[in-house]
Formats: sequence, structure tokens, C-alpha cells
Amino acid sequence: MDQNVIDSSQWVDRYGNMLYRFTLLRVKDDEQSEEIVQNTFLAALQAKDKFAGLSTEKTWLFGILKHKIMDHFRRIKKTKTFDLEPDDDRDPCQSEFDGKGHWQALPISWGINPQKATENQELARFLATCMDKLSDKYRRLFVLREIEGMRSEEICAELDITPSNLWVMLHRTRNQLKKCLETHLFEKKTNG
Amino acid sequence: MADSFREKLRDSVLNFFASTCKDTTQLVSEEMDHRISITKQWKIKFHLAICEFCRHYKEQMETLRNLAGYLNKEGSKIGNENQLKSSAKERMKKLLDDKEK
Repeated sequence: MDQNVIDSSQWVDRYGNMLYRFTLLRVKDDEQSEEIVQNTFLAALQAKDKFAGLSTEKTWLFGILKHKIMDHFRRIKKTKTFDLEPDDDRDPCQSEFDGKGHWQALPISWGINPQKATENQELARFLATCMDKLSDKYRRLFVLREIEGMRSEEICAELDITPSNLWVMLHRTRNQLKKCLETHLFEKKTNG
Repeated sequence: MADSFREKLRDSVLNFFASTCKDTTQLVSEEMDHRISITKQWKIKFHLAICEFCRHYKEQMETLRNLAGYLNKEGSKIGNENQLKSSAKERMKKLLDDKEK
């Protein structure tokens, strides 16, 4: 089949699951993810004539999907603030330091070479589980920064956050994920 | 006189670079998000050179980042079990079909 020809009757079967998985990892909620995928297909159908054939159908659909996901995050911003609030989750690693700022519970090595972490599918699976335990706000920030790889200035501009608040929130998010991953790693060690 | 001056200088240099583990973890994380000042960079270097625990922390942060990058890869099998419900698929097909006409 010519990769550069559009065939909308095949979209759902060919790309539906792919687009859905991609969205679910970012948005978490299954109904909202479904809706975003559906809107992506509809937007693509409307823009069908503009498809220049410069990319494959799949890349083109993913491009539209990414915009739809960002729109979703922007919409949330209007109803809920993304900024740091006083009652926000505290730093989960706070208790790991004594009054002088020294570690109380000393971090132990995970025994994992960071460069080779991506070979560790099991650990990646743990991370996906741990991400779902984050609050929605922190999860979104982590997705934009670490999964999408957006620069912090872009995130601040999109979501109206001051840089220092963003860094504080990302720091807390990472600490929370670190603790959660450690629980999994520790369980694995004691179980076998 | 000269000696006490040297001591003072030494102390102030040490104090300037000294940071607690708590501060260092914050700086390590901050450095992942934007370019930090040379002073902050040296504070991290200075601290990591003498603190094995914060070195572990930094490695863990790097592991976290690389794992997240992996989740983004198309080839990653994570979440493969998540599929669109067949009812949703049918609905979308019908919608596309109707609009196409």
C-alpha cells in the first residue's frame, strides 16, 4: 500500500490502539483518552485535504494527537490551577533529612546503571505504575517534562507557572517516584 | 596575622561551597530542568565529590529520566495490554463513516 495515501476507513483498526495507549500514558483517564483519540480522528478527517504526504499517515495522526493532548492540558488549566499551593503534597523525602539537612535514611545504590536503565522493562513497568499514584497535577507535569521532554520554559508558559514553583513541584514528583520505585525494588529483592 | 587571614579565607571558601544533602538534592533536581549558575554547579560538584549518598541520589534521578524516556518510545511494550474498547472502536468507525459521506 502507498504509505502516503489517506484511507480513513482503516484508521480505527490500524491506529486506534496505538493512539489510545499513547494518550492513556499521558492522560491516565480512560474515558478522556478515548475522547481525545476520537477527536483526533475527526480533526484528521476534516484536515484530510491538507495532508501533504510529506510524512506517513501514522506520523501525521500522531502529530494531530499531540496537539489534542496539549489542548486537553490547557483546558484543565482553566478550571484548576497548576501552580504550587500551600496544601500541596509535601516533599516525600522531607523526613529523610535531619534538622541539619543530612540524610537520616541513607540512600542506597539501586545497582542499576542509569544508562542501561532502559533495558530494564520491569523497572519501566514499575515507573508506569508509580506514575499513576501521583496526584493529577504532578503526574501531568512529569509527563510534560520527562515523557514529552518539553523544556521547563515552555511548560511554564503553557500552564502559567513560575519557574521556581515548577522546579519545586518536579523535585517533589521525582522524590515521590524514587520512593515508589524503591518499594518495588525492595519487594523484588525480598521476594526473590 | 597572615595565618588568621588564611584561615578566614579557607573557612569562607569552604562555607561558600558547602551545602547540605537536602540542598544538594534540590540542586541536582533543578539542574535537570534548566541551566543553573556556575556557583550552584560547583556546589553540586563539591558536595558529590565527598558524599557517596548524594551520588546515589543523582544516579537514581538519571535512571528515572531514562526510564521515562523509554516509556515514550514507540517500541516499548509498556501498556500494550491497554486497548480501545470494541464499543468505542465501533462508535469511532461509525462517526468517521458518517462524516465521510
